[in-house]
This record gives sequence, structure tokens and C-alpha cells, in this order.
Amino acid sequence: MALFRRKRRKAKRDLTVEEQLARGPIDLPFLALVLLLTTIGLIALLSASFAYGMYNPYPNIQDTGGDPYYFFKHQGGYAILGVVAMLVISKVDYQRLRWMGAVGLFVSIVLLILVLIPGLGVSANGATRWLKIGGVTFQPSELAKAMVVIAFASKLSQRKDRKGLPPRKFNRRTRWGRFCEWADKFGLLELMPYGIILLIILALLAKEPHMSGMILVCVGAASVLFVSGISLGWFAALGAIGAGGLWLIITKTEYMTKRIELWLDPMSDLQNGGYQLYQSQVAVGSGGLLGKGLGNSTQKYLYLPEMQNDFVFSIWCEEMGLIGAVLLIILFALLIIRGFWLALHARDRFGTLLIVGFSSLTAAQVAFNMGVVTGAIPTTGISLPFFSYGGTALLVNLAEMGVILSVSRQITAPKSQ
Amino acid sequence: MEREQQQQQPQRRHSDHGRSNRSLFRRTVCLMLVMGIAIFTPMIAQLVKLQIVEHDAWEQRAVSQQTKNVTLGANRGTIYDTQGRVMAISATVYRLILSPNAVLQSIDEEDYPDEDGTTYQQALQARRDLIVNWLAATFGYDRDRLVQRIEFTKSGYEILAYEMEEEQAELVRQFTSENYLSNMLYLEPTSKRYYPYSSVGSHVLGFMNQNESSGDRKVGAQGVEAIYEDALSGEVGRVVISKNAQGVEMMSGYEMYFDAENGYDVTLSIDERIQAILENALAEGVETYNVTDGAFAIALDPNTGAVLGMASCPKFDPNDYVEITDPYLQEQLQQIAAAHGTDSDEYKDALSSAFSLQLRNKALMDTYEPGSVFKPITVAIGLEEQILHMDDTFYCGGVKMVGGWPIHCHEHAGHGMQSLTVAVENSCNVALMDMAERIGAQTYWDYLEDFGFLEPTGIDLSGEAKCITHSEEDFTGPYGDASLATYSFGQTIKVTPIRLITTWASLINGGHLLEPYVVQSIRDSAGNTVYNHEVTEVRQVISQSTSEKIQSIVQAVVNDGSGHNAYQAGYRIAGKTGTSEKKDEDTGDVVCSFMGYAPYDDPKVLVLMAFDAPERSESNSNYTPSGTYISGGNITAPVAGRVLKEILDYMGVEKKFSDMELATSDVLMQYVVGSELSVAMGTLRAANLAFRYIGSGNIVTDQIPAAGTRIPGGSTVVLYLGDEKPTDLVTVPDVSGLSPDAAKSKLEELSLFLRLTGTAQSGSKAVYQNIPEGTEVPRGTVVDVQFGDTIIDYDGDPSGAIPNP
Repeated sequence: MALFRRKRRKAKRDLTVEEQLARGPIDLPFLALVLLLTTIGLIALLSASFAYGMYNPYPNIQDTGGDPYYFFKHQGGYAILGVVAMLVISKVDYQRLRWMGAVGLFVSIVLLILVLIPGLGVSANGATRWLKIGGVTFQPSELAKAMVVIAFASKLSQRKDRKGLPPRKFNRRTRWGRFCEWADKFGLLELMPYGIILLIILALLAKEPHMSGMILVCVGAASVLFVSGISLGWFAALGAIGAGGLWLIITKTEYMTKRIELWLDPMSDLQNGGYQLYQSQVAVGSGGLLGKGLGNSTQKYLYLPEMQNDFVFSIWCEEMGLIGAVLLIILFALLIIRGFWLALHARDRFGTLLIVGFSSLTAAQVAFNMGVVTGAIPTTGISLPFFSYGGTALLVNLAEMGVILSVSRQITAPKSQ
Repeated sequence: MEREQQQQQPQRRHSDHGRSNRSLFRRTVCLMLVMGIAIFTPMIAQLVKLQIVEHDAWEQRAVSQQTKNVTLGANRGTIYDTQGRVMAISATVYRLILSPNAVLQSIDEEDYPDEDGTTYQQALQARRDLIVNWLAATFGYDRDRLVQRIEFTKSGYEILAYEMEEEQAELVRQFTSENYLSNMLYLEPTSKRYYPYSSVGSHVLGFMNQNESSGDRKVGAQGVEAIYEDALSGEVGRVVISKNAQGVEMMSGYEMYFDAENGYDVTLSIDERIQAILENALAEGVETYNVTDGAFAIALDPNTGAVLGMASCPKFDPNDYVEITDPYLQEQLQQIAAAHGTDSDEYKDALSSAFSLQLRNKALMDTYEPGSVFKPITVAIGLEEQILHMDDTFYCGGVKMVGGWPIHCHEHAGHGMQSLTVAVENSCNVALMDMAERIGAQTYWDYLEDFGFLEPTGIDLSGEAKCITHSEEDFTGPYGDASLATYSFGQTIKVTPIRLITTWASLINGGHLLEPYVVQSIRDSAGNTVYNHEVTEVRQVISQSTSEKIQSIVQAVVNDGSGHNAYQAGYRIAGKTGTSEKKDEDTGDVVCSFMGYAPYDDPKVLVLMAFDAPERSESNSNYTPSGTYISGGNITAPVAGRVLKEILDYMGVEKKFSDMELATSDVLMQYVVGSELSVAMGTLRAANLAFRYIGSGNIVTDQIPAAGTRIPGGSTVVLYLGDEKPTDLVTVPDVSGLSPDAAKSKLEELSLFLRLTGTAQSGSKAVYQNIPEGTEVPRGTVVDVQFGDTIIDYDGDPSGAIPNP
């Protein structure tokens, strides 16, 4: 594709301003952080999954064939693919995403519906979250997260354009018109489409069910909405409703009550999730200040279930100790902060909102995952970006980083105003 | 695009745009702070809490789940007797474990995909039946119980047998390997304690059982097993191996070894032979005299304090210490079972009291009033203080007034005038009370303290009782006369047998009060001695010369006095009898005891033996139903004398005979066959033998006994003059109750010979024969017959006026 474009460009005499901007230098610190985290993530996954791959304890669920490098090899392939995708995406002028967002959102909603159609969706652990297309399993919710951010950013970046315009006229004779006028007064009308799209996606995810996906879609959408200048009153109101709903769910549904209880006292039910939380804390706690050394985890010898998925970080903490864990947190924090720095300097609102959305998604994932692993919050099932085993997630994460890098290319030019 | 708009809407648009951008900037920065810093702070706090603050606890949990502790059993040390005989030894046995859960898991339900699961149930049932049937058939376990246990599928660890021997274990191994059941039914090695001599020395050895702190491990309970538990048990070793969550050992993991240290071997001062002699004698005495409250005996080396034997009756078998083995207790239990049934509370109470009774080491844990055996102590105090002298005389009128109360001598008529020695020989209470009066309460008390009656002996066994005395204030106070008077002849003071014999040892070993002991040495498994008992002298209580005087007195007791039923020719036995009332029980029962040692010129062994409450013919009678007068001199002394004889024989102490004894000492039968009768007659006379002949010839054609046989001097041998010597067996007759002469002629009629043991005065009667009546023996066999006299040496005061402590 790059070759193809170069040919086309040669044919032209001059590049447009837009094209010149899109060829600006990439933000190297951010790229370095992404590559560093991807590499460390692969190493951590290798160490964490080594024993699981070797002992192959559940061949009917996931057959590693007794290969200790099974997870590393798979993830490594996706990582290479993902880095290539990231670099390619970074070359793409992100302005093209303005229209892609809406299409992508539509496609993801269709895919999310497809997942729910029996026969197409692939189930695991009592949840149907995957689509199998040509031998490759794929998680549409990952795409949906990204697309929500892109689509919302695209739409919200045009928001200020309408500011200052005279208030829209509505036909006061119809009841609908009166309602619209009333709603428009305090911005409800403007928020309606976002709300409806969000509700559709959340409903589809809830059907899977995919709790962590719901949380992340909300975080992505909320961050974009927040930065784009939606009245804080809405956040306060939605926050209050959300907190109330959460409180209701926690106290009134057995499922959540149990999760909370498990979190407060993992030992109370070692048969179920409590065992995992407990073993995770054993791993983290036994690491101490300096850790047992890379590759020397003992908890990974099947004591800690899912150590290759959501609990890579526990093994990292065990092997690298507090020092290694804090170092990793600092790397993630730097990635987030650098992302936001890029957002602040982005050429336009769309770029800002894109980066804010993706960075917030990443930050939320990191925080939720580490929170669960260290026992600071109840289990959510959110994986750690760049670390946890999962091809789609890694690809999507790296693609998101590619978008951020793409935005970073256009920064060198003075801001457009 | 934006530029275009800006151009279209110049002024207002700009400021509005600026405000909007400021809001965007503020909100982005705000979100950056939240997402980049704020949300990570609690993570770091949590990490610090887990990895620094609670690190040790988590690490402990990690290690405990990640390591497999394999115990390396330490072999428990062996207990030897002083001659190296194995008294207690440990050997490997097995626990038989059934895992009902593994049985359930072994059949995979998915392999039986029929609708209702019937075939799966059948397969599972078949496997269960296989195991249950085999176990029931091979080891005779209760089938119903087995079915119950195998269906308790929550359990993975059902112990079917605790101590399975190797042969049975081999059967299990074969069965499980043939049927591929080794993860469902398996063996775990453990150890079992064996006591090869079963009940011999049971109270000293103790036994093994579990207690609260030991869990399912057996530890020593009672006796040497308990006191030397630490030395015997050794250090259990461990291998710590890292494992994965499935329990698989990890080759790359770490391993740590803590070597097991085998227990030390303990060598006792106890000699199994001497112990057995004591126990047999007790059992025999208890049976003969229907002793109701048990009996005890101790054999002590008076020069070192080494306990050579310590027996208590009833006894138990440490191999199975709950089994009631004592015939007397068994009989009682059977009576109660017959009357109330075995499920009744009465039976259960009786069973548990019988159980605790047989575990009780009476020689150590009980106290009793020693009676006359105590008298030499009173004499020793007087002699040592030079208040008494060997040529003192004492008058006994049969009663003495003490503190206004009359205390009678057992000889109500009185012993009259007696020398010191004779007073002890007569066991005269009045004389002893006179002596104590002269000594005075304070001096007497000081000596009680010196002799150790106020402190434990320090023997290395647990459970030693304290002697029960009056308080010093009472004893030396204005109302102490009665207690001083009764102490003098061993009443109202209660002592432990081990204390009494230890104190007695000091009377005869030159005054040295020693610490008695049962463990001679301890060796580690490599054979290095880690402990060897040194003779421990607590203090010297009396002088050498006083000790010698006491020895001469008690020697006379056996030779001429109340102890002469303990006499055994050639063994030079000295001692003192005792017949003490059990005042505190108010039953009229007595303890018949004897304290004796031999040889008296060089004491090698000191024996205390007592029978607690021999059965009386009537409640107020002093005679047993068989007509023996109940006293230490009649009941205990003959048994104890025999015990001393056997012990000295075993120890190889050379016999020495007085001239009188020589007349009846064994001689060697000469070969006289083929000699003329007159020649034979001369040969036999020279050898101190009489003869009778059968047949009528002049040449001896055969003889009984054969040449070279040892027979008692003075026996009548049989010479055959031409007649055929009969080769049939003869039946040993009952000679009990006969005088020595009558017994001798009764035996010699049957061409048997009498070897006279014990005392043999004109009034003596046979009390014991070593070959029981009715035994078929060849002609010429020598039968040992022990003779004894009736000794009346009652210690108590019949009026019963003496208060007990």
C-alpha cells in the first residue's frame, strides 16, 4: 500500500498541506515506550506461561501440546503483526478516521450481533465473546471499544462548530417539537445519539456477557465526552446514577455481592474466584522488594490460574519485586502521560479526542488489571495491555497506539487556529 | 476547515473558540492527572502493603503450599537390659489407607455414555466390590463398615489399619499392583514398638501411645519410654522439595535435606532374668495366698543404687497395654460382666480401674506402712548416735504406755529380757519403742530427713510418690510421743518401696545413701556412649561401723529370728520381715513384706518384696484359708529367700557353707558298679552318703543315681546287687506339710532324693517343692524341697489406738 501511494505521489507535483502534515516526524518517546512495553510484555508472558505450557493442565480447554513456549510463540506472532499494523496506521492521516469511525461503529455493532447468533459465536467460560473467521478467533468487543472512541471523537470534534449559532428552531405545534426544544435547552438533544449508541453496545455486551468490555466502552466514551466539553452536570448526574446502579447491583445481585465478598476476603471461598485472588496475592506478596528473579516464580507452577491471561502482572511482581512492579507502573504512567501530552499538542480537536480516548482506555485497563491483581479492587476480568495473552487485544492495543502516533505526526506544525 | 469557519465568523467566534479551547485544555490536563497519576497511586500503595509490609506472611504461605515436606523417619532407639537383651525395639509396619475419592475418580463417567448412567454406576460398584470383598476376605474387616467407608467419597484418606505387618503389607502390594489400584489402596510406612519379653519389666519400660500434643505419632507413656522420650525418639528428618500445584516434584526446584537422627539406644540397669525371677515369684505368691491388693518387689545393687529388677503386680503387656492380663483382675471383671453385662457402667468403671491398676507401678507410685522392716533404721539411728549399744538389754512386758495409751507388742505375754540383737530378731515392738524414746523425737526426725524420707529418691522414672509422714512440728511437739513410738516399728509412716530399699541399701553399704537408677547408659546410633550413669551418693548417713553392726543384727534375723524362713543354705541371706497393718484402710488387711540381701559378708543384691493383703480365712482371722499364719515371715520370706537364691545362682555368686550346712551339701556320686558291697559301702560313707540295697549278692551290679550326679549329702543311694535296675518313671509325691525327715523318707522310697532348702528345724514343714506333685521323673532325680516355720511377728498394735498421719 505504501509502495502504491508513493507511485501516486510521484505523479503529483506538490503535496497538499494536509499530506505534508501527515508526513511529519513520529513522536519517538511514545513509540519507544510502546515498543518497550510490548517487549517487556512478551518476556513477562513467556515467564508467566512457561509452566502452564509445559504441564498443559487442561488440554481440553487449551491444548499447549506441552510446549512451554506455546503462549510466547502465539503472542509473539501477534506482536510482530501488531507493531507492523501500528506503524502502518501511524502513516495513515488520521483525518481519514473521521468518516471511518461511523462505518467502523456500524460494523462493530453488526459483529457484536453476529456473536450472539448461535453457531457463529464461540463460547468459553460461560461467555460468548468471540467470532471465528477463517480459523482466527476474533473478539468484536475490542473493535467496538476503539470504534466508539473514534466515532465519538469524530462527532464531538465538530461540536464547537455549532456553538454560538442561533438556537435551533423546532416546530412548537407538535408535541415532539416541544420536547425537542425543551431537551435542546440543556443539551439532552445533543447527547441523545451518543447515549443511544452507547446503550445499544452495552446491551449487546451485556448479552454476551462481557462485564469488562462494558466498563471499558464506558470509560472510552466518557473520557471523550468529558474532554469535548459536555457539561459537567451530566457527568455528575450520570455518575450519581451509575454509582446508585452499581450500589444496587452490588447489594441486590448475588453474583456481585459474592464478588465483593471474595475481594474483601479471598479465603472465604477458595473453590471459586477467591482462590485465584488469593494465589495472586501470594505471588505478589512473596515477591518482596527485589523479587525472586526473572523466571524464578514458583506461583506460576499452576498455583495461580490464568497466569498467562489476566494475572501476568502477579508473576511479574513475584519475579521482579516491588522495584520491578513500580518500574512497570511508571512506564505505563509515562505512556499515558506522554499520550495526554500529545493530546494537548494535537493539531485539532479530533486528534486530541482520539488520543484522550485511547489513552484513557489504556490507563483504565492497566489500572483495573493491576487493581485486581493486587487485590485493591474486585475482579473485573480486564487484561493488561501488551502483557496478557490474547491476539485480538494486542493487535487492537497496538493499532490504537498507531492512531496516537499518527496524530503525533501532525503536531510539529503550529496548531491550527 | 476550521480556518474557513474562523474567517466567516470573525470576532465573537474567536473569543468563544478560545473559551472552548481553554476548557478542552483544562479538561485534558485534568484527565491526564487522573489517568496518568491518580489511578496508579493506590496500586503502588497496595503493592507496598503486599510486598513490603505483609511480605513475610505471604512468603510463608507461598512456601507452605509450594513445598512438599517428606518426613524421614528416625528409628526409635532400642532399650536393652544390662546384659544387652533387647527389651524394646522398633520395626517398620504400615498403615493401610483407602481413598474413596480416588476410587470414585478412577471411573470416568464420560466413558459410559448411556442415558441414565446405569453402566457407569455398575462399573463403579464393581470396582468398589472388588476392593471391599478382597479386604473383607483377606483381613476379615467388617464388610458393612467397609462399604460405608468406601462410599464416603469426600474422603481421600481412610485409615483401615494402623499397624500392618510386612507379610500382610505384601499381600496388599500384590493385590493393588495386579488390579491397578495403587492410588486407591496404599500403604504408608510407620513404626511399631515391640517388647520381645512382653510383660517382663513392663512398668519400668512403659509403653507407647498417642497423646494430645503428639498427634498421630506415638510417644513414650510412662516408664523409661516416657522419661527418655527425647533421647529415644531422635530427630525426625525432612526433605523439603518444591512442587507444582498438582503435587508433582519439580526437578529444577530447590531441595533441602535435614537428616534424620536416629534415636539413642538405652541400656537399663535392669536385668531381664532378675526381673523375670521377681515377677514370677510375685505371681506365684499372689496366686498361692490370693493376694487382693497386688504385690511389688525390687532388687537393688546396694553398692551402686542400680535397680536390677522392679516388679509390680498386676502387670501389663506393653505390646498391648489395654488388654487386662492379670488373672485376678480378669476374674473380677468376669464376675462383674456376669452380674451386670459388659455394657453396664459398672463393667466399664471396673474395666477402666483395672486398666489404671495394671499400669500402676506399685514399687514407685504407692506408699505403705513398712512395719518391722523399718526397725533396723531405728536401731541404726540409736547406734549411730551412740545412744544404743550392742550390749544394751531391753525388757518387754508385752505392753508399753505411750502418751497415756497402751501400745502392745505382738507377743502379748512379752518377750522378757532381750539383748539388742534378740530384740530385733524377735521384732519386739516394746524394745523398739524404748529405743526411740531414748533417741528422742528431734534426733529421730533429723535422721528421717537424712535417710531421705522427706525427699524423692531421684530415680529416673516418673510418678514417684512422696513418703507420708507427720509434720516436723507434730512429730517433735508435745503430742509427738505416739508417732515417735509407732515410727520406731514402722507404723503410721508411709513410705514408697523404692525409698525404703534405697535407705536400706545405705544401712548395709557403709552408710552411703545413693540415688537409685534404672538407666545405666545411653549410646547414639553409632555406638558412642553419650551418657553413663555414675554412682551418685546423696550423703553418708551412718558410719561404716554402725552399718556393720546393723548387718550383724539382720543376719541373725534370718539365721535365728523371725526371718529364718528366708534361709537358703550356702547363700548367706540376711534380712528383716515385716507384717504391717494397713491402719488407714481399717480393713484388718496387712502387708507382708521382707527385705533381705545376700551374701551377708559381701552384699550383691538387696531385695524388697511385699504382698498387699493376702486373703484371710475370716475377717478377723490371722490365717489364710489354707492355714498359713499371715505374716511377712511366713508368706514373703520363703518366696524372697528363693528369689535371692535364684538371683545369686544367676549372678554366679559362689556358695559358702557353714560346717552344719556342709553335712547336707551336695556331693558327687561315686562309681561303685562292679565293686564289692563292702568296698562300695566305704566309698559312699567317705562321700557322706547312706545307702540301701536291693537284691542279694555281693557285687554291685547297678546304682541309683548314676556316677557323677550331684546329690545332697546324707542321701540314701540305692545299690542293686544282681537285680535289674528298673527304668520306669516314678511319680513325684506331694510332700507339703511334712517334716524334713518324713519328706526325705517319702521321696527315698521312690528312689528320689531330697535336697533340703530353707530352714530345717525340727518343727519345720515343707512349704515348697521345685518339681510339682504328679510329675513323672526318672529314678534318682533330686527334688528341692523348701521348709519353713510359722512365724508370728505381728507389727500392729491390736488395740488400734495409734493415729495415722
